[in-house]
Amino acid sequence: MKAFIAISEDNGTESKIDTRFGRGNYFMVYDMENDSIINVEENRFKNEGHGVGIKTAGIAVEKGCTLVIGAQPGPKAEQVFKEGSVEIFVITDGTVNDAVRKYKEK
Amino acid sequence: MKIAVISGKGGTGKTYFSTSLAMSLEEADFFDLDVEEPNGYIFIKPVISDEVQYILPVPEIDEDRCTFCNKCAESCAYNALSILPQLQKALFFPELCHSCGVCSFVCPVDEALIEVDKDIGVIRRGKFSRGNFIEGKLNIGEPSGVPLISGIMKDHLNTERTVIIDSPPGTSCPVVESIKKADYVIIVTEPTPFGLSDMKLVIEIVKDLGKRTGVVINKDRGDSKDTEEFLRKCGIPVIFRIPYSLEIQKSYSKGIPLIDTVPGIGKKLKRLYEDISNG
Ligand code: SF4
Ligand code: SF4
Repeated sequence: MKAFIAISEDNGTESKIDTRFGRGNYFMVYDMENDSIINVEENRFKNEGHGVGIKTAGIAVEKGCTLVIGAQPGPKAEQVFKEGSVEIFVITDGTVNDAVRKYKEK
Repeated sequence: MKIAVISGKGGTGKTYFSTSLAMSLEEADFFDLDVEEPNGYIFIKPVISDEVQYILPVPEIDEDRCTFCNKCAESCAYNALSILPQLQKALFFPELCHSCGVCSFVCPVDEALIEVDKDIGVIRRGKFSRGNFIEGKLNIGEPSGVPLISGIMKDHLNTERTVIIDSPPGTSCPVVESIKKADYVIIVTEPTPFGLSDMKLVIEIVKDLGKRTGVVINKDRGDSKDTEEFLRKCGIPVIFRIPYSLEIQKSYSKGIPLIDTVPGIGKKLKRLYEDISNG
């Protein structure tokens, strides 16, 4: 399973989770089975006006992620996730490592 | 002269004031642009002559024809479209759409994206004792009054005439839209701590737009020191006061205009208008 995580810095699995879903500085795609980072990319949309969450969610779905970990997405982004049957796991602080562990303990 | 009447929040007496200001003049048009809850008619008592639906074009995507090329979503400046090729899905978010038409222009596939009509509200027109009356009323659940307000201002504003505009309350985009074309902005406030903090926010907006402005203190009991102190610092004049009185409250609740409640207030309002237009 691939997870999509919005992070505020690019620091491997020690990267901090961003508190705002669509406006994190980077997006990470994470392989939950092998506990490894698939890729990290800069968020090109973070300074756009309305609807950033929609774009971000669209990217997550397009990358084939079936899980998002991080801040609560807005209602419109949530709608996109619903279409893509993507699970949302809300966590608002800590690092990627913390978040992945918490998800697995759930 | 176009005068917009605004307030930091609802229930400050904005409409009560704006309607009587319009009625105090020999000739004026009244625009009720408080589109979520237009109630100027209660005091103005217009005779309505026509009523038309306000329609906007919005995209509709036929997922059987769409190739999910994403061109429409890429060119939408408002992120109102989300194309998900893997899922063969096209999502549209009407709350974000500004009906700019770009998406239908860029779509390369015949009939994949067509424009359909969306009814967002109604415009009522008529006459009252001093001139034309016009009111916009947004459909319930419509996300923004901006298109309806800008549509009314574009199609119905007669620049030769005196117009009193009753704006929406608060500080959102519809407020800005309703005062863009105004020569003068009147802020109605109540002399309470809440009234003061709401007023500060609207003053910011008016300042940003560089409009001439003045404040009307409603329910004035001579205890508006904080409000006046603040206004002095900003260099904004208090241009009118509506006294606090039980009689006014009573007649307000019965829909009787201010001008018919307090003797002599009509003349004062007229003078206020003259002062503003001689500026
Ligand atoms: S009409 Fe304009 S704002 Fe609306 S979806 Fe199309 S491109 Fe976006
Ligand atoms: S531009 Fe037309 S074909 Fe391409 S995704 Fe949009 S609706 Fe579909």
